[in-house]
Amino acid sequence: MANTSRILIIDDEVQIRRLLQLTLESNGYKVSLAESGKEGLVQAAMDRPDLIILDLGLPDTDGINVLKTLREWTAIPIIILSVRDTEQTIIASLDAGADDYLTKPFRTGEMLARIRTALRHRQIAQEESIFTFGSLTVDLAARTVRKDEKPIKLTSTEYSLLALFVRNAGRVLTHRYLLEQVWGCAYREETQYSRVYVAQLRKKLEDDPTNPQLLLTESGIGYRLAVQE
Amino acid sequence: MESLDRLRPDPDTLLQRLRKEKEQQNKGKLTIFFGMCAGVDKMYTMLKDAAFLQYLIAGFVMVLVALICVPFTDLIGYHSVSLILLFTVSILPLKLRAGPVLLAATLGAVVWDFFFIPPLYRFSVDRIEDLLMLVTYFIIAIVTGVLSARGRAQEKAVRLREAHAVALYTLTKELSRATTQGEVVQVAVSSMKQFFNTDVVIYLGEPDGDIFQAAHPASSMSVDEKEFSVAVWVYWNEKKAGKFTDTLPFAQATYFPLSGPRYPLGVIGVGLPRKENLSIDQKTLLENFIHQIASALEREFLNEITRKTIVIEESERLYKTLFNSISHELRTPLATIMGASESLLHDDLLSHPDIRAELFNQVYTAAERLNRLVENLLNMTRLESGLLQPLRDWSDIQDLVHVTLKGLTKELLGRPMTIDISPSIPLVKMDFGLIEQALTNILRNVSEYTPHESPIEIQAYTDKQDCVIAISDHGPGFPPEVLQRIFEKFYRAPGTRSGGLGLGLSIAKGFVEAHKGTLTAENRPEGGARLIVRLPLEPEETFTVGS
Repeated sequence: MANTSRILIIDDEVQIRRLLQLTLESNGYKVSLAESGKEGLVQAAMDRPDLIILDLGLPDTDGINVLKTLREWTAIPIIILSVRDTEQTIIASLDAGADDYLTKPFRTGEMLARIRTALRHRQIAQEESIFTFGSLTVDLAARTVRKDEKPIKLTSTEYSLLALFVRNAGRVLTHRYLLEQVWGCAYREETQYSRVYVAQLRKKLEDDPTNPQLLLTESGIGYRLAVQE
Repeated sequence: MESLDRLRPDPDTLLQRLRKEKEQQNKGKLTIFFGMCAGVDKMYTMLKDAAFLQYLIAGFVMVLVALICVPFTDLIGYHSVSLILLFTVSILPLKLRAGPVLLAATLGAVVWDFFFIPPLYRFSVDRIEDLLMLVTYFIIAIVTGVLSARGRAQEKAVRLREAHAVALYTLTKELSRATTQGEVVQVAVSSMKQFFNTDVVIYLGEPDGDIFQAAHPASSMSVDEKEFSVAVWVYWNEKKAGKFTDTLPFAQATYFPLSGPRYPLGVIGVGLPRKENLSIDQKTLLENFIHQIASALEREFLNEITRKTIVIEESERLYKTLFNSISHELRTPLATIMGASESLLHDDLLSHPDIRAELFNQVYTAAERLNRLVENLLNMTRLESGLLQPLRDWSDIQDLVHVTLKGLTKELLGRPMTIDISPSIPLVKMDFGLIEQALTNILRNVSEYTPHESPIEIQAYTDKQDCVIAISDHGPGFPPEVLQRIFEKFYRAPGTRSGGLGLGLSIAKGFVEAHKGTLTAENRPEGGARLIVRLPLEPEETFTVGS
């Protein structure tokens, strides 16, 4: 994939902006910078970047408000930057339409992986129907799941859940999102369902269910289907 | 009359009250001292102080006895009458003082002579033996009466001393039980009420030696500004003042200083109704009471100082430790980062790629250490602020253990890990992030204090109403003195290498306790240590997989 994507960074800390700019530019991205929410919104509208990295702690306005304003008119992937111990804020911003999140301090390798996932997700979304994750193959058109070439039997709920993960491979999905999408809005607080069904999926799909490599837990937030790069 | 008598703190009402209370508390023990007929006692109480009434009674009794004897004189002979009169005189001192008894004795002689000895209705005596008998009667009556009265007075004094001793003993016992100045004041107020039937107001000086601003809230008497100024005078002059004294006698109460070691501890105001009824004994008792109260206050005052000193020393020690270790913990990684990056920036000699890579590595490691430190300090602050609210949600223990171990890949590298999670363990409602942090801190601690490559075992199971996660190692275990203190903030086992603030385990404990759980440490009989997290499982908070 040619890294000519343009990325807008909205962060008030000059050191973080500089670090992100250097890292991203050295990886071939084109970077534009904004140091306040207002400026960020203007730049997003003018430059039409391919991805936005948005810091939640901005001086002029709450990052979540910037996110919501952006989501009113664009589906550009947005990755949230946040500090630790703010799971509630992270969940809120994911539920408000952010694609992914990073907590400061973060590893640059991890950041680049998240950016790639978010950009790819945008490109492949509807076209493909067969996905492979290691030894696991999921055919969304034929509704079949194979592991090491052997078909795996899943209940319809398990399949719906897995299909949701597959369509959002690499992205973090909150419990609330999973519950709404698979079980319906009335179940959005019933997190025991997602816990139980993820555990069942792990038993059927993982080589070692006690040490999952596919369905990863994002502590306090949700799950992520790992993508091998 | 009776109501006034009840108010008065005189020894006999004191005795009665004491007896009543003691009988309630301690049935029968004191009845030896107070075994008197209640009716007589009551009548006596009403009359005992009125001397006139005593004389009246003495006369009345003698006349009555004589009158009763008149119809029987012929039957028993007039000599027997003298014996009856003598008997009457001898029992009168039981209830009457010496004066009335003397009157009764004299009256008995006169009445006998006049109404019984022939010739009747005259004071002359015909027969010599009658005269002898009269004189003998008179002497015996007076001697018996006086001796009995004196005996009674002595008995009364003994009883009074006994009552005072009991009162003082009770007070001392109560005071010795009090563990704060407030409790001493409460005991003082209730004892003064119990033994003197009087209300008191107590002022306590401030702990730093400043004068009091208001009466102690436990006081049973409320006083106005004027009274307060009397108390202030007593506080500064350390002399009693107020009612019944030469100083400020128009006050409502008598104020006594409660003297301490360096300055007066306070003032006690006693609302005595009438002074003239306080005998010397009672005054002594009152002063003893006040002295005891002051001693108890002084004792608690000194205890308070000692306690405060300990607290201050402890917090100073903690502050020093905190300051030393934080400055050390912050400066070490900062020095590494600054030194290494400066070399990388300026030192042209460092062209060798291996050295450069090593320096970069050092910068990264130091930054990680700083990050951990900041995280621990922030977690500690969250705990200390009391604002920590676990966001409890259904969590899978298997998942929890796995996520925790994944975060510690580097620390646990090369260690054989045995993970045994009971399949029957249900989903548990907990704050996943907080418990993950707690387990991370525990495991990080284990990895630092046990030999590299020694195995670690993690077990999770349900025990009664608890979900238990036990982490066992094969290290040296905890020395007993360390075992007691490992959860203390900033405590680091002696002789451990530098690095770390000694916060990890106390944070872990705090996070577990925020879930109403417990974190305990023990040495395993087969060697090594075990840390046990217990999280309570509420029945409605479990959700078995597959249900």
